[in-house]
Amino acid sequence: MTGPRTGFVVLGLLTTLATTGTGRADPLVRSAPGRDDTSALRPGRWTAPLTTALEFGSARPWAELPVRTDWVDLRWAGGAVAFALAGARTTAGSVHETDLAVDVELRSGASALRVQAGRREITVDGFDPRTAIRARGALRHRLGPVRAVGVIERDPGRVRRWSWALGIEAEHAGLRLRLDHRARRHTDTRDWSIAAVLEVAGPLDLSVDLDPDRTTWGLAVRSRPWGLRVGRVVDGPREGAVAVAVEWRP
Amino acid sequence: MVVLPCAVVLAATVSAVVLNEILYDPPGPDGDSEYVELFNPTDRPVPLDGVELWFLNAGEAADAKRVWSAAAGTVLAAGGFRVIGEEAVAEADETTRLDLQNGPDALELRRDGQRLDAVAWGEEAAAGGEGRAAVDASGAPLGRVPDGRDTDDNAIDLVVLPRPTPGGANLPAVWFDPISTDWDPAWRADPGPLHWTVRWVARGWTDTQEALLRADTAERAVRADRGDTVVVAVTLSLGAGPHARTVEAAASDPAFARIDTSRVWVGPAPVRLTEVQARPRSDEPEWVELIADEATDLADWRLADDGRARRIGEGAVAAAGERLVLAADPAALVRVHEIDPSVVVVRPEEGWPTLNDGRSGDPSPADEVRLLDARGRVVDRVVYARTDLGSRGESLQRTSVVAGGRFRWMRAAGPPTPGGSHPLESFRPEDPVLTVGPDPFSPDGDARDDLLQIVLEAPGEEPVAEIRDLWGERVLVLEGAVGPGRAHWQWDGTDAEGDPVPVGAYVVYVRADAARGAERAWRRIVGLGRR
Repeated sequence: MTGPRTGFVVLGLLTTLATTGTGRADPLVRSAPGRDDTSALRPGRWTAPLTTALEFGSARPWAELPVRTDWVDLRWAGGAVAFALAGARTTAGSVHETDLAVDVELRSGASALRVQAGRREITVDGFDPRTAIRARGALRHRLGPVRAVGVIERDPGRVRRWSWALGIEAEHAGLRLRLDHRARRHTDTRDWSIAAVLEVAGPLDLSVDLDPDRTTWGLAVRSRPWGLRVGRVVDGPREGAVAVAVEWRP
Repeated sequence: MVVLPCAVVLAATVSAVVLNEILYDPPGPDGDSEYVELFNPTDRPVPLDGVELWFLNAGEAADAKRVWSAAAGTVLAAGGFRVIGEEAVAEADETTRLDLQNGPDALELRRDGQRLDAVAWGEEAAAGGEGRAAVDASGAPLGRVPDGRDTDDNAIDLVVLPRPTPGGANLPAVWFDPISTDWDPAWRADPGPLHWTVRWVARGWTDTQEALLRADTAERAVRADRGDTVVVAVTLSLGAGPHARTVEAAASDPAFARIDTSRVWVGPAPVRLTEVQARPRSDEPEWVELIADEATDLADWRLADDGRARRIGEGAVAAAGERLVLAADPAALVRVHEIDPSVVVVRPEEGWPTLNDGRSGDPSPADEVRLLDARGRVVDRVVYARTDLGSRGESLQRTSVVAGGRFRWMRAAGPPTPGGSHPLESFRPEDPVLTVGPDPFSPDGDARDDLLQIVLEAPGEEPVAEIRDLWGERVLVLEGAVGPGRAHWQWDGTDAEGDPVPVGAYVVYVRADAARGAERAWRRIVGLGRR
């Protein structure tokens, strides 16, 4: 498994030599349905301001396993305030999950506060459904080309309910580098991930995302108002996972 | 006037004779096994003319009974012992009826109505002895250590001896007792290495004792303080069949030697343990289930925990391929589990070896169950900790995994099945590689599908099983039974901290090194629900 990962590290380093634009290239990561808490710090998500858009996506997060998740995000951004409404449905063998989330983002100068409330319903075949209400809050600050964000989440569905993350993202001439540190009390883990996004040509972005468990590459093609993103996990337990998302931005 | 000095010398010598060893409460029914040993610690023979032994009921002189008197001309040799015992005492020099009681009572050695020595026992404040009374010695003799020690305080002079020694020294200056010989595994299903650990304890009466200890080819010169435990370990490669190996301890100054034998079995045993209930429900007795490959009369077999082995006794006959249940209370067990009348359920004739279940959360061994054949060989054994036992009412069951020559045991996946087959032994993977089930499972303590079973056939080298949540986060790394042909894990729906995880979908992720270092991996999705 070291081969692909090493290759992508090299690719990540090479991207530091490139320039131009910004991009969003990791379709495996969704923003609003907060079930995937790793999404909080991914490109264009909690480190970046909400933008007005409508997005549909679908993923097979475990490759050949019978797991599929589909989502839709609706986002609107005004001057000092932005909203997002998101829904996702996941089927995983005998388990069915429905997730709804509402985001509100308040902006003031270089800082922004974003809060999210979510409701998750899980149905296991043969058992009564269970519902959990969760909440997230994030504080973001921009200093020149650098954005830093801290995220905290409470998930009552777990015995140890709190988790938090810190992220920092730097952008320069089409290259974006991001470093995340996550701590999860429910799994008693802390880890780091590093990501690089490179806009190769005007409408084309490439990304690579490394964390202790996986390497993900992504590709985004954009022709306003439409955008298409695809991604694939190339190693680790989720090797072979794929996702695709279509975005419409007015 | 000429005789007087001789009389004074003689009297002083007789007064040195002591009650050296007393067995007032033999193991089991007192029967005819009581004895009293006299000892002459001087270097001159002592005539015992006129010496009498009196039993003082409750230590009261007013309620005394003479139980023995020396025949005329009786002489106790220098450094010699004389045993006054009841009929069943083979070492007795003189036989009499003692009828000693279990205390608080006392014995007095008298001559011409004068007390030569006295020992009281049963309670510290028991009357009739010298100083404080000796400790209570139920089932074992009291003895002076070293022989003849007499400070006029019974509590100091007499101790509980590890074994009866009528007519011999109570305890040598140097004495190493092999307190346990532990074969790991207790038996092998196939020939291969066995790790043998022998533990001795220094039981001589000197403060520091030296000896040469040997366990088969391994030997060790030791110097130990009294009461210290010394270990000698060796790994032996043994072929199929029964084996006997020698345990020796020897010292030259003072001379001491003892030889014991330890037996172990290699190869399939005709009778095996299959299920153990060491932490039963309140209305359920403890029990152990066996299965026999061939018809076997277990009358002379024994069941043991980490203590004494108990003879199973008459009526315990297992038919070929059938199960037999040993229980603390057979009637209660049959009633609680509605066991089929055709299943033999018996209580060991020599009593039930109460199975300890340890302290909550303690991973160290709580107890063990051993099955010994008619020749005293351990043919099967299961060692468990409290953390292996789970909730009250869950049994331990043998799995089909053999690792290191020993079958593995796991918590029952469902209700206990005394007398019947259980899910772990009948669990056969449908998939030739990785099988996970039941799906969904429900770790909610209702004894239905509480444990997720994960079996990997031909696992290769060092297989590792993890539980991941739906988005790839590791929940925990499982510990299981990994054998050369099969690996078996269980998941009880908790995370690495032991907290229950939320209901939902989880991924069982198993990986192993195949030949030449290549890694293989398997994934299965499974649902976790709770009622």
